[in-house]
Amino acid sequence: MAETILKAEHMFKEFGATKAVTDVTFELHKGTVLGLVGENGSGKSTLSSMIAGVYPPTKGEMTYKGKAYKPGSVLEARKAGIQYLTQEQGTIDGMTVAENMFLGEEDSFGKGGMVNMRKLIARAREILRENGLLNVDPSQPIDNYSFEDRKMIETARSLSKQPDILIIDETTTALSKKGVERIYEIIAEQKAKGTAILIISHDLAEVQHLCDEVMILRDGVFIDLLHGDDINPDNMRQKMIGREFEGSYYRADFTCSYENEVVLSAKDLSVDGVFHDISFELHKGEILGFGGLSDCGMHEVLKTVFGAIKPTHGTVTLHEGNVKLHNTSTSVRHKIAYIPKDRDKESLFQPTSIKDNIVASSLDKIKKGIFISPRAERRMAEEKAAIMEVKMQNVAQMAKDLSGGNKQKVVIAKWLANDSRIFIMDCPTRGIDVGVKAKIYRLMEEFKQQGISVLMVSEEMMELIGMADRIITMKDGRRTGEFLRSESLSEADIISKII
Amino acid sequence: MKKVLALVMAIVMMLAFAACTTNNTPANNGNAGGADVKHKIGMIWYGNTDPMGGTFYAWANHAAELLNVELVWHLGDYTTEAELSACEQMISAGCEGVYFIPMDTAANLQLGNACKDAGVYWAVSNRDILDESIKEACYANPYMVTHIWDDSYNLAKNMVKVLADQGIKKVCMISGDPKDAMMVDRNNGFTDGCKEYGIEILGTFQTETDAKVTTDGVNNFLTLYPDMQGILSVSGTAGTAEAIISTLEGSGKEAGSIKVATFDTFDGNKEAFEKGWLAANAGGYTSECLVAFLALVNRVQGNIKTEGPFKLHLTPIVITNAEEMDLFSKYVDNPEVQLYSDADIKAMVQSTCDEAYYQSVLDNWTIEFIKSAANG
Amino acid sequence: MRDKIRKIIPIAGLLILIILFSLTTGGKFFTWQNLKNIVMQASIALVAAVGTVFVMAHNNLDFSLGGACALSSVLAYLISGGNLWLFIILAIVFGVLCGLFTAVIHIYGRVPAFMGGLCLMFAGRGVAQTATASRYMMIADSGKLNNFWVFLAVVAVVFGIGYFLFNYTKIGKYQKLIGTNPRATDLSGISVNKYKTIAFVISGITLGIASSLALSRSLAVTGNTGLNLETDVLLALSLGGISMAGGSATRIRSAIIGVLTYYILNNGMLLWGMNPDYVDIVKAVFFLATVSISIDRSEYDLIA
Repeated sequence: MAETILKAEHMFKEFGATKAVTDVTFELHKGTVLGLVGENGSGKSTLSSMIAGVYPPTKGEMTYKGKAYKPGSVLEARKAGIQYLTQEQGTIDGMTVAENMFLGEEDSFGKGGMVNMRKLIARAREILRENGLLNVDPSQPIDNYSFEDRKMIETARSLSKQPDILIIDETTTALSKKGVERIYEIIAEQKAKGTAILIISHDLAEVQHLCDEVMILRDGVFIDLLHGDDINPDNMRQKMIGREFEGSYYRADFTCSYENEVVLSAKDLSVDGVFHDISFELHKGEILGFGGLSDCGMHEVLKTVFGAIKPTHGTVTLHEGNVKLHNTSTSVRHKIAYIPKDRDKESLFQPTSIKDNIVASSLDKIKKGIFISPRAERRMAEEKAAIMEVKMQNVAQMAKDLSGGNKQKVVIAKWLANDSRIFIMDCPTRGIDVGVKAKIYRLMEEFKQQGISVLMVSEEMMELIGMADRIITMKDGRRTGEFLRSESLSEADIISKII
Repeated sequence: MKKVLALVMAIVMMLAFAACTTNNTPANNGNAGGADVKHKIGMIWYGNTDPMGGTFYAWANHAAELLNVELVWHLGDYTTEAELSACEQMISAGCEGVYFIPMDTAANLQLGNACKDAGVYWAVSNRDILDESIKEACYANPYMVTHIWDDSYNLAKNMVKVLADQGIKKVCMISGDPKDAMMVDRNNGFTDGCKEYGIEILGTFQTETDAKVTTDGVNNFLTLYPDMQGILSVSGTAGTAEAIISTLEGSGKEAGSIKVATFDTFDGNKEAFEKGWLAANAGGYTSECLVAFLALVNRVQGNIKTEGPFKLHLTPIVITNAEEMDLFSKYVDNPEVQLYSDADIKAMVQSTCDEAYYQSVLDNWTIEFIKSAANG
Repeated sequence: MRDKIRKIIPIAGLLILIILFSLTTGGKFFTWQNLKNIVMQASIALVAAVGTVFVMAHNNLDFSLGGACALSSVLAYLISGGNLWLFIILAIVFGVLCGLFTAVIHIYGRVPAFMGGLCLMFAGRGVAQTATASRYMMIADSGKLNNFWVFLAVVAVVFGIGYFLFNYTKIGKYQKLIGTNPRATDLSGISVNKYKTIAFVISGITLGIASSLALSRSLAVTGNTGLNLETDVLLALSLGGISMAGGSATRIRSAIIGVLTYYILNNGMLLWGMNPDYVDIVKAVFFLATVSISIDRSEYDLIA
């Protein structure tokens, strides 16, 4: 085994009454990729946060390069040579690319508080070039760049520091295929340089592809350390959940099934500069999937269908009552649900109770005149939360304290509360662990049986193939193809239509 | 929800408890007391950071100490609601008298009634009461002790006389708002004075208490009336007097070829006298405040018995040269100086004081008085 | 735990003040007369604050209160010709119009509401001073309403209705959602613009009522009508623990707690006969102390 660069022994972390990590011991080795895997709430993010200096352990010791290691802040950890890449936005709006890249290190570009901008920008350009980001201008405000570009800039920044340890926390979930490939390249390069890499991911196939060793955590406790052939999705899944995974994951059947009745149709829908001439029909009890690269416009199509974006041409019509859908109030009133891709920013009210989140769109149902009874609210929230099996203390708890998977359950509960008949879902299982993913798939199957229609976008090819009755592909804002559900449908078929 | 209910119940209980306590208004106690009991007077005043405000603040505090009276001050408000609120609180605090300047005429009525209902004496100064019905109601209020206003009409006439004595025949006038009674007095004083002393008014514009507007106006005068010899102004506050002088200085005319007579003392007035631009400057209202206050103290202490107010007026001082201006700046509106001696003050709280007496004190407010007070 | 302490600081501060002043003013604080005074003085700001809470909840600040009060009062006086009841109705109508003005500038101009508010603040003040300089705007009748029971009734009704709307109807609940996350609110099928406008209308109604109460105290509309109303209301709400950014944590009780705290503090200091030069300093210290303990720092996350 290669040389140990970091040793963490008997790590504990408690947040008030919550025991996030309990007595975990492990090592990171030079030039090795360690995968950290577990359901939401297993403690994997907490563990990596402690290494990265986000907060200290409640108990436990870390040894880094032979010396005791107790970082007081992320900045200290960075200076020590540990870089941490996350899933969320790590750059700051309103500042230029260069300013973002050297945040906290401006001192080295001038003296007495004055910053030599030209030097800053020049150095930034060098680093961007080294990382293949030729299209990025370091003097531009970082807001001008896409989420993915910004993530790449963040990565470039981290790598320029020649880290000894690189922590990658679910970074690939939000990236396009190109972005993901780039990250894989970087991992390979760093591995060759001798950097120790710690990867946290829900994507078990990815973990299998990348990792030399895999540590499994469950409920904050160490379960197993896997090597070689033991590293495979089924094995990992089983250890993560602790029980044999019953039944199938995606849909068991391969029949393209839906009723003839059309519930919703879009005709020549266009938003200038984003997508053009999109037309389709959604049937009762159908799961209609849209696939494509992340910037092909499919996310915006869904928003436009829901009424959140005004189209420059075209119409969206709900067939029941022949209603034109042009704003979100109308859609919701007609029992259409929308689950955004960006859960934290667009679906949820974070510092707000679970109860208020769940009843938000359904107040018209429980009101009496203008009075809304708190008891009725609570009853509705508890009912729906129970159906979705949300793990919480009670509905008065704040949404921001929930794990990703439970947050998504709350979002779905909200739309169940309104008796929604059409669900528009954008990447519904993004950043969620296996157990909850499966639950959502089962729910979608139930919807089909109840005659509820689903319009779905997903960047996970396997998910589309596994769940949809029909898949419409898009590229550069236009429809490029349509596939019917079948056993022989493969990823390659779809990919050919989206690149 | 339960917490809120508990809180509400607690508050209701407290209020009920309070309602049962004996009424602690000054009407029930303290009225009979003579000089042995320390009486409380409420002072609603606009502020103590500017010369006049600071001076009266100092004078009143000194007098209070001398006369063994406790003052409760409220500084800073101009609206009737705020003055009324302050008055009500002072009554609750046990004040037996309240002194204030009624910034708006209705304040007289509102505070006057509040005082009457509580059996508290009150006094006002520096403003005439514009509305006849309010004036009637106030004068009929047995608790009103003093009403003093500035006699602007005669003052304005005196200022015209100063210019006339210097041989001036043609002037321009900066007039005041015809809806403001105090300004109407000043306007009329000027115009009547000019008629009386044979001076022609070439042109007029209305002041807007704005320096820029004043500058433009004076420039217009200079252009339109090259034979203008003097400028009369009803007001000099907010930099307008300074504006008049600086515009004249910048006009290129010989210093002192145009003489200014204006109300309100201002920065640089001494230099303006020295250079010859300024002929008459009227100011000095603080004595009004003091007399109103002392008469109130007199009544509260029970030394005199009144059944209605002393109606008095003050003619502010007209300064006509640089030495007087210097004296004025040093001794009037200077918080460090007590122009009225301890003896003077004590004399104003005797049982023998009556309307005529207080009026004589105010009539004595002249530059000579200041000279002797400064030396003595 | 820290959270719980933080939340009760405003009410605790109020109770401490009440107890303190009861014990140290020789019984003058806790008299029926004095308590009545406090209620009457606090009424104007309290009524205006109730409406303001709706606007603040959806994350807007209304700086127009003073100017809007002046403007509405002047217009109401001129059109009503001095008739008291007509004045009251018109004051409310113009209050609502001012609110709509701010709402329109905010929604269609796409600028934060306080810009429209500032507009009204200056314009209103200017109009009032000019208009009142040319005629004396007194309504002698209004003195009749300057009565404790009238004020108490008005406050109770306004606060009661406000409390109900804010906590038990869509109107109030949606304000909090908009303040927390306007994007998510829209995507939940709620019309953000409609409800923001409703908040401004409510704020306008309470302003009109407050203007009427002010008139009954001062008998006349003057150039200084409504002076500093917006600052007094915002100050009082801060003392009551309200969050500047609005959102789910907004509580309408902040209005009553804060306003009472502010006026009781004033009252107590005057009863003590405190040297007036120190009054402002004490207010400032008290304000800083209360706000710094009760402020929700997690909203200002990284002042590391």
